Amino acid sequence: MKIKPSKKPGSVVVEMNPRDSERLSQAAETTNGAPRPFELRTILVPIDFSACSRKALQYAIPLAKEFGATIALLHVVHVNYAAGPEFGAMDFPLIEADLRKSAEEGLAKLAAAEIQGQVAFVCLVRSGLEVIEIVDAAKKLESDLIVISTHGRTGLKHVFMGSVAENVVRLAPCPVLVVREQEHEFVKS
Amino acid sequence: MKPTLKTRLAEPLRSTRGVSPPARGRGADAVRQSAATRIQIRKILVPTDFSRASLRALRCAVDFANRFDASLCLVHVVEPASFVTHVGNVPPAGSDRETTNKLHHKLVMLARKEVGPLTPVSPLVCIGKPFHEIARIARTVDADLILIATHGRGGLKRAFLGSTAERVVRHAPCPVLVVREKELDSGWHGPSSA
Repeated sequence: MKIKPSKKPGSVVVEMNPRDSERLSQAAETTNGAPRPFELRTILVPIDFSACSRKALQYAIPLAKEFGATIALLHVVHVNYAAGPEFGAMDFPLIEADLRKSAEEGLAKLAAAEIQGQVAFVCLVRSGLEVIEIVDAAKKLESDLIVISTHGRTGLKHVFMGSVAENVVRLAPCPVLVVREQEHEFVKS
Repeated sequence: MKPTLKTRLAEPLRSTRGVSPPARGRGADAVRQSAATRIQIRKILVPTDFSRASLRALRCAVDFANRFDASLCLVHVVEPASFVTHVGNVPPAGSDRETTNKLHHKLVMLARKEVGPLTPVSPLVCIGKPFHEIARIARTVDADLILIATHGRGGLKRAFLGSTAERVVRHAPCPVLVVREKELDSGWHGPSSA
């Protein structure tokens, strides 16, 4: 494409070759075209109330805004029923109910502090094993994206402490955005 | 000629992006929201192995790049048959150089086919361990996001075939978006269905 001043003052002559016009029509297609490979309607954010998971939420909010999606906050209560009678008589269902209640309150508080009514959200509390519940919730909600944070442990620490995030990546039914505790960030305030 | 074309085209498009909120679900409050936290993705690293899964990742990356005005860095990592010393980037020699050139050409063709003319793409071929090289390149090019595909193998298959995506997740210096080859029964509308 060549742009030259024309003899008439205040106007220009645009010379185009076929390849340029092809490029321009392609450009029009990519900007106006309907096919959008990445549509988000529900974003699942597993929360364990750590600073790390708060960061995942901080990533999910602008994404939800950008795509007009709903955020689903999920906390998984994991009561270890196997920790048996050596601790005396324990009312596990009561502990679980207690934990669920405080988790619900915590999620509501976190949502109020972080989301501040910018996007629609729902709070969910489930009990069971973290990975299984997260994956199951993603399937039930038909979520389009999971935003999860990881502590980013490697080596021995990684082997011992495991990683919920990693297992979620492996088993999730949808794309997963993994956010690290300390890293290069793309969400700027 | 190339830069003038790009700047000439990029400017009007950027402005239409600002005034066409209905298409992307942003209302009049977009201006108010822009003051709050927002997403700034300038560089997306897309590792590809030319498989169908990675093609899906590339298409998602193109969509992201259009949406956030980002540039793409398309990377293919060749694993050398023998890897004697771990010295980082092994300089390609002889036949290695030949394959690298061939792959680079393939990468350029892929970029030309899949990526629109307005998205800057830099194709890159590296030699080394895939996850190591991907993390290293992400650091060097200062990538904001790595968009990678996984085949989603589980169990025994996973143990044998390994998962580069998983290792990238563990070693990456930036957020990683993992896209699956085939999303299982979710409301996910992938590029294949579009």
